[in-house]
Amino acid sequence: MPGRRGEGRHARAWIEGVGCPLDAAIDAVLDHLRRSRNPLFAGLGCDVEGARAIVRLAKLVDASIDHLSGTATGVELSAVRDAGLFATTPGETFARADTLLVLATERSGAAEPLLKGFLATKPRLALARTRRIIWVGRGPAPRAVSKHVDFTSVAVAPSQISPLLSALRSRLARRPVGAAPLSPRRLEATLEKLREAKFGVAIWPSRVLDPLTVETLTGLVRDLNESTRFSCLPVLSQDNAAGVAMALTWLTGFPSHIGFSRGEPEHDPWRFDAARLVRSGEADLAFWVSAYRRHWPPWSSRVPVIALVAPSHGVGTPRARVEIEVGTPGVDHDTIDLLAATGSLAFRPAAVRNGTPSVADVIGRICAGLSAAGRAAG
Amino acid sequence: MIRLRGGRVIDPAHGRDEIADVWIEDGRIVTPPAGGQPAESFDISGKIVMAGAIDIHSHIAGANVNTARLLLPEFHRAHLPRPGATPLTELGWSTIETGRLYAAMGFTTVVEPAVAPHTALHAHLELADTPLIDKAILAVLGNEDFLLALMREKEGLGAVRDYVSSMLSSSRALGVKVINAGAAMAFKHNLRSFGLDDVVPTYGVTSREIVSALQQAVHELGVPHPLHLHCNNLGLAGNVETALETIEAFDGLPIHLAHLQFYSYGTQGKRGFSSAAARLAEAVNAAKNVTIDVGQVMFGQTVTVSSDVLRQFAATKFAHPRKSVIIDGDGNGGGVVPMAYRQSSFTNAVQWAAGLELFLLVENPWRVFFTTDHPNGAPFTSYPELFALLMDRNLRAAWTDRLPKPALAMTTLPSLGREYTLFEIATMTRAAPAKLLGLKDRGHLAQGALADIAVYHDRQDRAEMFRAAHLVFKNGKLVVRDGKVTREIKGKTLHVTPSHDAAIDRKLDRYYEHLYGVPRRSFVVPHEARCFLGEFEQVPCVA
Repeated sequence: MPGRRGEGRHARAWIEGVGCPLDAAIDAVLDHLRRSRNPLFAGLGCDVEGARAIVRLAKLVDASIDHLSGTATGVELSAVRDAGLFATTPGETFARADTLLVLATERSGAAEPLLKGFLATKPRLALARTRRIIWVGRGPAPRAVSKHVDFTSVAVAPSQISPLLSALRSRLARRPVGAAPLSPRRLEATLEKLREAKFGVAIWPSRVLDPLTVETLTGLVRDLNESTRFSCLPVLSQDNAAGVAMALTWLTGFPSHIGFSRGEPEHDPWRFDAARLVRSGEADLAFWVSAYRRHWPPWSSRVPVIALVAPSHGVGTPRARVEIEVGTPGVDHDTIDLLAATGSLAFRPAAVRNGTPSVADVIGRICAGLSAAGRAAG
Repeated sequence: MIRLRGGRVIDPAHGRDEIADVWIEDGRIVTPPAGGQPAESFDISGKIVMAGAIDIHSHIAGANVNTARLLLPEFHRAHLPRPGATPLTELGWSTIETGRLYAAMGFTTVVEPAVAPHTALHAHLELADTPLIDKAILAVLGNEDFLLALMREKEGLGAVRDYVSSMLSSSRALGVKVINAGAAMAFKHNLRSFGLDDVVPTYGVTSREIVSALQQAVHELGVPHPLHLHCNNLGLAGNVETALETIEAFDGLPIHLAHLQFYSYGTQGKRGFSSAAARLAEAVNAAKNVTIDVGQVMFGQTVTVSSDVLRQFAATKFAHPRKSVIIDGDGNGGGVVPMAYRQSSFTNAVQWAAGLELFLLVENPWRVFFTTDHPNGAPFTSYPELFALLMDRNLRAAWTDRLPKPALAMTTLPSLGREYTLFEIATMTRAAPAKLLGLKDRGHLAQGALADIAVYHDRQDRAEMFRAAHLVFKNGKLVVRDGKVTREIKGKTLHVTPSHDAAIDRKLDRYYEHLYGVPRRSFVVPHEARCFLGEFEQVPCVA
């Protein structure tokens, strides 16, 4: 909602790299939007309120939205849409899972705190006294593992995760397998541990698995459920990507790749792909939103960009035609976004509340500017 | 002041069916002023006037519904260049379209009946983005460790009551829903079926005991809407016995049984699947404490969205298209399973007929409600066709002619000649739901009522009539004209706040830290979040 919490007091903005007041930056944005034939909204690193505002604005200016291209969340969602999923919550995994199949690489990112928690605790609601962890990929340092945990390391290269899952699934169906990343004896031993689970959970941090591997894993979990209970916990990536995908889904029916040029929302993963829209020249203006961290899309130099970004704190220079610094959700302003610890949307009050505007504040002012101009023209 | 002049006013709450004017001022219905001049007047002679309709059970928001949207992009109108004209493709499937489509049919209040308290914030965000209609959620309880442990430790009904009250308040719900009590927990322990007297492993309590404790708690807290129960064994041949046992278990106590059509199956015939709706309707007629909604199946592609995770897991084998999402949640969890009900299918035809039998054989229109259990039996946009089927025996005969004869032989439908009247439709969609939910200022057209009003053309084709209301007023504002939304306003979210001993909140605070390592505030709908959630309105509990 625009206009609340004293927004604008600490706003910092630039036009063509030159610092300016927020009002002037908003006017410049309005100017760019009015002249654009086909604006693109991309990135969308923001909270639910920001996503709501972006959909409002995208409708007003007949824009396209590509929230997820090339992101890990996009990979996971597309796998779910193709093949379905067994899923559980971080809470149930923490409290109940007696067996964890962790598919990890060196960088676990947002999954790190969750994985640490699972390694350090025993499941209070499980019948077993210990937690059995099968860690595929490079494992944690031995001292990170609690004495309540029965830890097995299966060291395979990231490229071998998919063949390993396929081999496990084949063996579960008692089909023979040829070359597998593990010896037949270790393969059987690993499978036996999965079979013995009373409530097992497969966990992977986003970015680790490609869509086909996610599908293979879902198939393995589905087959395990014929005789025992097993589920999945994809640990979602940063920037509230999944939270925004949720909001876009209820607001438009789709998580990403949405166009409003024909009135009602349309969905087309090819037509509304950001990189394609920029490369082909169809998009003549890109609106880049990244409130959680400061980063840029690979195509940012090929199209005029309006950016709502996290503060630079003196590092880096303005790169966009118009750049407005926005507050960090949950730090500078109250927010609702997806909490990795619960897997659900949650409210987080501002830690500082210093008046830096939120994405929703800035876009609310842009919408108001467009409507006012519309009224004046009409 | 607005005057609706000369319409046929059907207001079952006050026994009215007469030609009369309706006057609106400041969002309420007022008595005709002596010599007063309206600022605006609508000549609606020859039209039908009813209060805005109320849907007590429609899955329109929340995490599971959103997963269903995600899972089925190919059935969204916008995704296909030339989509088939089925109710699911016409649905739009966003919160915005949901509000608009309901309003176009003259509905002004809708209850989302299955929200896990832990994801209540998500559901309320969606409802805040659902325009035009007022909304409410029912909080799903009955499968979570905290409650089952309270019962295992025999902490007594007082503790259960405090817990229920705390969960209602912290999730801002209008009532309590129980979905296959104990079964989601049993499924986590690898049980694959769960009946009324089965025991939840490690907790030592039965489904019957859980439902009974929650029924009593809701009743004693004075929550106007009685416990809303999704029974055990949904969808299974022979499950009429479960429904009958459940009715018997609540001898004299107020209880609402949801989507009873899915529990009206016998085992007769060579396929071992028959309609037992007639038997069930008889039991409902005799049990004056019981209300039901039907959960009518209509033919076509849809998607089932249910927190009955045990049942949904079993249903994955019948998924069409073949993909499903099964969620082991903190409490109930749930499952999203696409489903195509086919006219040529023996089973689906029996289901369709059994629903209509329930409608036609339950005698008292104050105790049976319109639902398709949206979207489980069919999208809510199928209501107009359903109204038409119930109002016209010839239309029913035309439909039944196209169904497999062996399926019809397993039902009593062909022998039922009853035709619903407009007065009965208005009772079931307006007066009775308002009474069931404890909403005193809606569902009727007397002075002081909220000016939620639907005006319909009196068409021969009842489906056509109800699909596109002539005029719809929400809070006295004209929002729909001839089925088209003319103005988009925001509705409110209705909820109850019973009182309880705050000791339970301290206990819950400790519990969340201990079990999940996460503070409880991450699982509730906090007061400070209200600026993101739109307007709430408290419905008083009964003293």
